[in-house]
Amino acid sequence: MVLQLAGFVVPATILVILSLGLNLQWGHTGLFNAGVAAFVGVGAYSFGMLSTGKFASPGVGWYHWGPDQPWHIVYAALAAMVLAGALGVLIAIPTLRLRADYLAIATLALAEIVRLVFKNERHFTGGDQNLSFIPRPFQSLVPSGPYLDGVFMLVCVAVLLGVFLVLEYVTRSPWGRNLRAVREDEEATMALGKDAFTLKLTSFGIGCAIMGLAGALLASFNQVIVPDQFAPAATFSAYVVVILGGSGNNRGVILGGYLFYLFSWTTQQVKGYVPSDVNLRLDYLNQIIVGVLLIVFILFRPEGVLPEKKYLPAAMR
Amino acid sequence: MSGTPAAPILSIRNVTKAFGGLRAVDRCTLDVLPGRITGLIGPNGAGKSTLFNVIAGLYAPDSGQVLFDGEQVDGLPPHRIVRKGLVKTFQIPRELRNMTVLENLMVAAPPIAGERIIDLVWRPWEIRKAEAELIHRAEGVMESVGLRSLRDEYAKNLSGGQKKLLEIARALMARPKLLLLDEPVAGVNPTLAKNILDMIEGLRNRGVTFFLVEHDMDVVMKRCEWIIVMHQGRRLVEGLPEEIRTNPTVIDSYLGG
Repeated sequence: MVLQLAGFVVPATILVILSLGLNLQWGHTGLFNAGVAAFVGVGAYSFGMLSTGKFASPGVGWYHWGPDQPWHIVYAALAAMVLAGALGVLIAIPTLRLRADYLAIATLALAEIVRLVFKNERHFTGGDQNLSFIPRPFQSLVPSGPYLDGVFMLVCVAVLLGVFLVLEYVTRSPWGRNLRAVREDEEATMALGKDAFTLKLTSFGIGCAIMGLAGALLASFNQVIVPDQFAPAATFSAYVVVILGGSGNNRGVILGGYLFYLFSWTTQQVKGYVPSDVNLRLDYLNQIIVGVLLIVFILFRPEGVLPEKKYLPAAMR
Repeated sequence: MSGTPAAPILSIRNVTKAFGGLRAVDRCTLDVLPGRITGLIGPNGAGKSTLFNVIAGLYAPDSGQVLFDGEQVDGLPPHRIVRKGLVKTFQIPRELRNMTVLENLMVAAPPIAGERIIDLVWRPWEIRKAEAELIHRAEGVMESVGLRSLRDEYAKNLSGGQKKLLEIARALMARPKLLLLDEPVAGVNPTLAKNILDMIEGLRNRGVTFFLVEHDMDVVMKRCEWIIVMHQGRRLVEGLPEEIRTNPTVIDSYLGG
C-alpha cells in the first residue's frame, strides 16, 4: 500500500515541483522555456554525480565523473539547483535581449544538446550505461523497501511545500508584480521605469533552479538516471500542467499537476485488467485525450482550472 | 514670456533616426523650456512619435544627442531615463491588461523595497510598509484623475478614455519632471478631453513640464504656450501659438492653405 502510494505521490510531486518552476517563467513572466527537460536533467545528473562520487562499476569498466568523496545529498541537491539555475542564466543572457521567440528556440536546442551530452559522454555521465546507485535521504536509518519509499514521499511533499511557500512569497512581492508587468507588456514596463531584462533573467534563473531541484529528487527516487528520460516530452507535460492548472496561479499548478499525473497513472493501472490489444493502445489513447483536453481548455477556459488571482489589498484610508 | 531665458530642460541636438532608407528624424535640433506646455505638431510622418521614442530611450538615435537637465541621456536604457524624471506615455494606451488599475499604478512608481530579489531575502520587513505607502500614493493619484472607483478593475476592462487616464496616471506615479504625452486626447470625448487638459494645466502649475504631440489644432492653439512644428524629420519653425497660426511656411506645409 505504502509502495503503491509512494509510486503515485513521488513522481506526481516531482512533476508538480518542476511545473511550479515553469509557472514562474511562463505563468508569471511570460518566458517560453522549451527546454524544461534540460534543466531537470542537469539537476538530476549533477545530483547523481556529486552524491555517488567517482564511481567505477566493477567488471564493466565504465565510470562517471564525480568528486573523490561523495557529497552529502543536501549539498548535492543545492548544487543541482545552482547548476541548473546557472545554465538557465547562461542561455538567457544572450537570448533574453532578443525577441521573445529566440528564448524558445535556444532552450529547445539546448535540451537536445544536453540530452545528447548525457547520452554520449560516458566518461562524464556514464552515458547510455546509465548512472546508478544514487543515494536516497535517510537510507542508512530506514530499511529499504516500503518504509524508505514512504520516507521519500514525505521528503518530496516537504520540498514541494517549501518551494510553494517561497514562490507564493516572491510572486506576491513587488518583484513578482514587476514580473507580471513584463509578461503583459515588456516595452511599456521599461517605459514605466522597470529593468525588464534583469527581471526576466532572475525569474528564469530561479525557475530553472527549481527544475534542477525536481531533477535531483527524481534521480534520488529512481536511484538511477537513464539519459533518454529527459526527452522533449517532459517539457510538454509541464506545459500541460501549467495551462490546465492555471498559469500564474501556484495552487492551480499543484492541482493541475496531481490531476494530470492521476490521469496517466490511472491509465497505467488499468493496463493489467484489459485485453492485450487494448493494452497496447492505451498509451496512445492517453496522449490523444491529453491533447484534446489541452485544446478544449485553450478554447474554452484558457485561464485554467484555478485562474490567476486578482491582487486586492485593502483600501488605504 | 520670451524675456527670461531659462536653461532648457530638454535639448535635442542634431538627432537622426533612420529606418532603412527612411530618415524619420533627420538632424533634428530643438529645446524644451521648463515650466510650460510645449506642443509638437506636424503632418503625419513628420517624425514626432519617432522623436518621442528616441527621447524616451525606446529607440537609440543613429547620431546626435539628447540632453535632459543638462545630462546626456541618449544611449541609456528606458528604465534609467524614467528614473531621471523623463516619462513618456504611449499614443495608443499600453495598459497592463491582466493587472488591476491599482497594480498598473504601483508598477509605475519609483523602486521600493522588494523589487530586487535580494530585498526579499535581506529586508522582508520593509516590504509591507513600502507597499502600504505605495498603495496610499496610488490611491491619491487615482483620485486626482478620477479612476478611484476603478481601483480593483482589470485594466483590460477599461473604456478607451479611461485607458488614456490610466496612461497619464501611471506617468504621474513615476514622479516626472518632464512628461512627454503622445496625443493625450486623441479619440477621447470632449468632456473627458477637457478634464485631461485641465489636469495637465494643473500639473504644469505645480512645476511639471509638458511636451506633447497633438493633432487637434484647437487644443494645441488654446492650451500650448509654445509650439514647435516638425516637418520631414526636422524642426521647421517654432513660436507662440499666434505666430504659428499665421506663419506662411507652416500654413503651406501643415495647416493647409
